Amino acid sequence: MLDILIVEDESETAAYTAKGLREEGHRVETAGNGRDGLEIALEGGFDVLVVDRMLPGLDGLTLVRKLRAAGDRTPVLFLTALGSVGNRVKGLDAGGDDYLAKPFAFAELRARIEALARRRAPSAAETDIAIGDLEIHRLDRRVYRAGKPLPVPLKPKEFRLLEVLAEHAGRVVTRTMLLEQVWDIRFDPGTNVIDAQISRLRAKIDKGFDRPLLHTVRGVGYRLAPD
Amino acid sequence: MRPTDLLRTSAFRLTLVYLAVLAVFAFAGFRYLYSESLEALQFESRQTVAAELEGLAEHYRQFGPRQLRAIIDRRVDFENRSLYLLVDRWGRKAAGNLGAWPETVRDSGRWHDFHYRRAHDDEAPHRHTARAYVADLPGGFRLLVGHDIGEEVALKRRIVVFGAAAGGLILLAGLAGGLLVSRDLRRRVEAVDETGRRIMEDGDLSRRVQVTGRGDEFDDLATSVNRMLARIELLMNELREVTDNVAHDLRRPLARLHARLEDVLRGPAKAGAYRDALERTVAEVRELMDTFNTLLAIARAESGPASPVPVDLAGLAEDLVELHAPSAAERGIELEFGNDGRAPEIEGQPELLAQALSNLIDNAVKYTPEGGRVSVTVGSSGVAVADSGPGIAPEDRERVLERFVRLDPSRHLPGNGLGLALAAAAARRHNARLVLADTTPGRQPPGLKASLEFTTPGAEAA
Repeated sequence: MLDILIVEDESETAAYTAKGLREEGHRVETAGNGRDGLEIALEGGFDVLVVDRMLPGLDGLTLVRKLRAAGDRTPVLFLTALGSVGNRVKGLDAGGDDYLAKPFAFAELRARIEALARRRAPSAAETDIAIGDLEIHRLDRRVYRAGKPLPVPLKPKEFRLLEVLAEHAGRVVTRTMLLEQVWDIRFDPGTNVIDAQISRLRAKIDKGFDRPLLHTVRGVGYRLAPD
Repeated sequence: MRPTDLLRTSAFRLTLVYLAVLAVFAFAGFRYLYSESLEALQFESRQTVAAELEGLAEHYRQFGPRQLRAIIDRRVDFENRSLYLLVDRWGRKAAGNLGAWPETVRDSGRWHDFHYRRAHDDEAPHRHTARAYVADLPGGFRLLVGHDIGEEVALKRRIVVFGAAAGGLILLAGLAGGLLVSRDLRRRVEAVDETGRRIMEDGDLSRRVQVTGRGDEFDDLATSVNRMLARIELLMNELREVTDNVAHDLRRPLARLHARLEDVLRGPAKAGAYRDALERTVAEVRELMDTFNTLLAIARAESGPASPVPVDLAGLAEDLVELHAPSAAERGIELEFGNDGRAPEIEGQPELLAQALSNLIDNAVKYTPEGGRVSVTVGSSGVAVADSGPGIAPEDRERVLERFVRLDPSRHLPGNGLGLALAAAAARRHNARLVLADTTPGRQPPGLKASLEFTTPGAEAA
């Protein structure tokens, strides 16, 4: 369960989002303008802040700048109707950790919030990651399954793909998150592209084993987990 | 333009300030010259008087009053600019050409300026001005020796009159010049102002500021404003076109969505049917959003602010080939990459170029039948994506780059008809061209070769 603060002036979006997140078992507070948002955020105790870029009173960028200036490092996910590269860069420069353009699918928001919350966990910095009987050695970029090296070694991008999935092990990673984190791409590259990449990775790590590790979450993304 | 408007112009105000400064300096200079020349004249008249008085006093001491009287009488006869008056202890005139002791002259031993009438022309109303010194002589006599300073006074007056006239003329000329200059400047500025005001009134962006052809800074300004207007007009037209297209293109799916939802509502309230309808609706809404986003990307490519960075075209192409390879392979298509190491050095927006190239690769993979080939080649002119698909007929090649244009054979495939439009917009943004051609001319199928051709500064000169 996560403690989430949503700072969003569009009350309907805020209400739907909060409802959805509560149904997932999270505790959600909302603020309708920047000043209230900053005040509540500064009280602390949140795992993730979801902040709209355009807010009455105090805009999202300034809110996060002030928060960071006050020494608060809580991960921030910016929501915005301004999806261009320049705006995203501004958001990240101000101290945001992720950026999601409106309109978004709820599953996308949820996956990103959970990824941000988990990023605080030390496991992301570990050099070796183990998921079930899959071992990833990040320093020498080797992957073992059931104690043996993979029969067909991974290409660099495939390794990075596995690494990102492993960093979020047990959680859903969406296609757009993979595109951003593996390929540094923020547009839709075309039909089926990520699915085919995943199939290829799956063939290399799961083929020939009884228990698959790489799962497809229909309509949302992928999950790397031992179950 | 009213005269009062003219007075408010900055050019006229500057003229006033300039004139004021000029006047202060001119006046100070004039004052200096005036007092210096007066000093010189005064010094001369005093010298004359002092010397004469000295001589007469000496004469008196040596020869007594009678001789002094004689010499004064002699001098009076041929000296008409000098004044003499000798009085005895009772104030009676003993000699000289002054009728009476002037009233304003009392103390001895200092200089006096006074008006007088000559002894000879008592009747004449003429007033003269003189400068005199009075000496007390032994035996109770008082001697006044003076000098007519009429010339000095006249000169003084002439200098003042001349100075005032010259100053006045300069100020007048300055004011007139200032008015003329401000009127001209005002007129030139008003031409720009007027155009701006009219455009604000009726929104007609086709208006332009008149360029006089004089090639001065106002022409530069007018040219700049005109170019800005042309750019705005172009953008507005494009925006209008995009808006029309969006409205047009979104109406169809929205109508379909609406019809389906109504149909479901009319039918029996079955959860399964509702769920199906909602799922299809969500999927369609997603597609609409994608269309929106792509339209926005195109609009930004065409008009957004740019801060170009160096782009590694070959690296970018190779990454994209690697990204698309598995999905191509799933369709039984071989996706090849070739690089002759002579990629042009370009600057721009890597993300936009990547999206353009990705669209070209995706199109090639999508339209090439199973078992076909797609090759991405980086060369000195840019990057080309060649496929072994059906190709595009020459007469359709221009049209297919427009927004929302989909050729009949592709209508059954997923897509929004914006991929090539985005690639073309990205190309324009980078001073490149999106060229469509046959991969294998003369053969069936001809295939499509879509190239992003960059014109590097060196190539342009060649």
